[in-house]
Amino acid sequence: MISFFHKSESPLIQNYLAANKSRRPWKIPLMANRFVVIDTETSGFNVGTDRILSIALFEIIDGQINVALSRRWTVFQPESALTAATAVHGILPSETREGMDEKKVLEELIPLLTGAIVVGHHIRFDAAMINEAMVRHFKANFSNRIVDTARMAMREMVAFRQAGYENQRPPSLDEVCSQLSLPIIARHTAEGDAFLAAQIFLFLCGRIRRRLLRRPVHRRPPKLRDLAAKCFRE
Amino acid sequence: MISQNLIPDRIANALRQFPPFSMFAEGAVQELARTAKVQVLTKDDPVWKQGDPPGEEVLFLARGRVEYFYQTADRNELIDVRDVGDILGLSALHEGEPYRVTALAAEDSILYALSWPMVRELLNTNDRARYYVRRHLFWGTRVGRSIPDSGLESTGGTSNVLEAHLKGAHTITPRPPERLLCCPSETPIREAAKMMAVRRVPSILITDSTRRPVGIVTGSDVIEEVVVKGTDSSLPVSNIMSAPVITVAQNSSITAATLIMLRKRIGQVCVTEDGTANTAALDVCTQKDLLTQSGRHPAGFIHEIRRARSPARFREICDDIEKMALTYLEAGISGLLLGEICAELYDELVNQMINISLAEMTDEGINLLHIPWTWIAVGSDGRREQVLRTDMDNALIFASSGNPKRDEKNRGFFLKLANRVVNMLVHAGFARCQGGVMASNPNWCKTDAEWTAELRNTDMITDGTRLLRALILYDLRYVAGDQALCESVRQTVFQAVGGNAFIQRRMAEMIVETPPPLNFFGKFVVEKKGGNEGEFDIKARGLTPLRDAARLFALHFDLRQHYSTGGRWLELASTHAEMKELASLAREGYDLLLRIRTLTGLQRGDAGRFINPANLTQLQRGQLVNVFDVQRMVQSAVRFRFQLDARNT
Repeated sequence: MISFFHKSESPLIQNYLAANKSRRPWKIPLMANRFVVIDTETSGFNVGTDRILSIALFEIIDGQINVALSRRWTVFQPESALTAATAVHGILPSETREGMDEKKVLEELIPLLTGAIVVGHHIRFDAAMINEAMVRHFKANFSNRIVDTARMAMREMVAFRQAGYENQRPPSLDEVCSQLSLPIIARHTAEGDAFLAAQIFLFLCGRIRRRLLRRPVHRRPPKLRDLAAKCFRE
Repeated sequence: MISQNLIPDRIANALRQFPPFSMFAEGAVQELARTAKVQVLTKDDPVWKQGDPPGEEVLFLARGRVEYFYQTADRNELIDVRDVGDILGLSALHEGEPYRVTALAAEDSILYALSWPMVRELLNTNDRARYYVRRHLFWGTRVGRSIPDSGLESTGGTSNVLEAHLKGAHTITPRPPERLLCCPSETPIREAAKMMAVRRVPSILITDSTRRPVGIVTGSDVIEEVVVKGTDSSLPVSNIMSAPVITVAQNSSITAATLIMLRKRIGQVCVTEDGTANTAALDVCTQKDLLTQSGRHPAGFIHEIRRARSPARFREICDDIEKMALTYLEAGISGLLLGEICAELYDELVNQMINISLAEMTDEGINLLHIPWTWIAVGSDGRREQVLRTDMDNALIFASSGNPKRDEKNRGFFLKLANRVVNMLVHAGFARCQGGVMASNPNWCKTDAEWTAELRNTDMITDGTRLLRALILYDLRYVAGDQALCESVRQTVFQAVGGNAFIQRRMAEMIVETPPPLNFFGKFVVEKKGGNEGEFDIKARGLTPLRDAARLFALHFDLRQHYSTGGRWLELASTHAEMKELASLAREGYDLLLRIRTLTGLQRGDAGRFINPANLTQLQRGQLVNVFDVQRMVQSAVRFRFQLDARNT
């Protein structure tokens, strides 16, 4: 996928791919990494045809959510129409038309993603959407390591533990929030969901730390790229 | 269009609900929120540790709870709790010095870290907020100052009894004004005296038309002027009144009022609105009235108990009594003395409960039986050693009718009564007796004839449980009902045991069975099995032998004046010169053990039976070893007196 002629295309992508390509040293404290919590609102759930309408991003540095460094973009989508998803996130086509160009958004987003671990609730969908956009505009794949808070919740919270019954799904953001009794604010906006996911992530990291009686460290990197690929093949 | 600053807006909203942020301009809070960082802590995560340097951020607790701990060399004590809306770390930042305490998240918490330079700038430009924060900071400096104090306290500089009183002291609260007995100055002396007699108060206040105090006439004034000097009792009362009236303000210190009365040598003081005689009188307080109002003074509790009607109120009073016990013990008051104080209070409590129960039963149409009965305290309660509410030991005696069937019927009634009282006691926080020593148990609710028969029965020395039961019963003490009935049963105890060498021998054997809990090297013998490994059973190994010996000597020498173990030793010391030294040592030793036990119990919220030798101070440990020496002496005295060795050899 990463062929040599892409390298000449843009230093932005070159940097991005270079930062994500190398294997991370492991057994370093997890919190020493830069985490980026992302949530996207889209026009639907079909990765191939639906489009990103807005993206929100929070940075976690040293275990703190840095509100000052948060970003939010409304993406300009020329072909947007009222869909079922509009009822959920409430982003009207008129607003979408005032947004930024998708390519410009990515140009701002990609430097922030460079070298970071991307966190989100059901992050694989968001990653797949961003991947689509990146392929479209830069012919490059989304290659960050990702952490899904829904999967973490399944591992760390008794309420969502794998019970072995069929069609058990990773818990929704609302379910996790109510379990952690987090105040739900601004649900179904990219910003609100990303902020919730960031808090969930920190809470769950705290739980892992308490369970392990030490700080969480990197394990052997999971093959998340394969997982992401699988996700958007579906 | 959705706001571009959704999350900062939310944070700003959260901040704005609490001072000092509510006092800042809206834009300023918005700006703070924009640069905020969000920290998430799970339970037991440290926010910061004692001695850490302060960062550049002040923390706002948005969710959860944070507890401040002060760590000294040997203990970690909880100093303060921070709740949602509180600011953390302000004092350290303000003074630019390391954190004085460790802050731990007591539950999952969310904190907003705000830039300190910005907050400082805002505080410097906003007077109201600064004043608020100064008040808020006050505790910080207070903790700073109190920390060395608390350290001193543990090394022996305890508060004294006066301080213990002042801790719970109140201010003067006037009673309803219609209670105040007053009359105009032209009232004849006889009329005034009559009013005092009817209302049964020791004085009458002479007031003008606006209720301002002009003078006061007390009962002794009337005696002195009318009876002794022969003043005509139809003269106006102004002829004999004392003026001016000494006044105090409402809500002023009770202690100060008491001191004023002592200095002026008067028996009552008038409470007025502003503390001068130029405003309306509200109340006249005697020494006794002030005593009952003065916080944790035991006299106040008697008053409260008498007024209490509901189980919840009893509960509150008992909680307060325990608090008082703790402050007294910390002030170094004797455990025996405290036991006696508490016994008086708990007796009053039971009396009140019995009265309420009887009234309730009358209301429910149950016919009260008009035969003599008496509610007695047995066991530790009977010995007046019950400070903690971990146990209740009581029993009931009612007059036998001579007809067993009739007695059974009567018992049914008394069991009903006892059940009500015991339930009330349980509501008030007393634990039911594990051994069933309660008047609501048919075994402990008997006629005087049955009790006498049981006491005179000598089979019990062979039966362990019955002997134990007898030992509990030997400590019986009258609480409520017909005192003569109780005395007759107590008489029987002394007759039955005093004249029975076998029972005494058996009791003596039990006392020497427990060796002093020191091993060959003079270290404490700690429990090796059960849930309290590594701890020392102060009840079985320390208190029991001394207590049983006191009881045995009391029964043997027929010492009936005292009920408590301490009192028994005292009586023994005063009546038997040859045992004087031993008895006073034993009393001191028992007192110390009781104090340690009660303190442990209050601190741990249990019966305080097991103590950890490691937690004792060096001094206490030394004292304990001395006590066990005394125990050894007592045991050899018992051996000698009851000739236990003679038979064994």
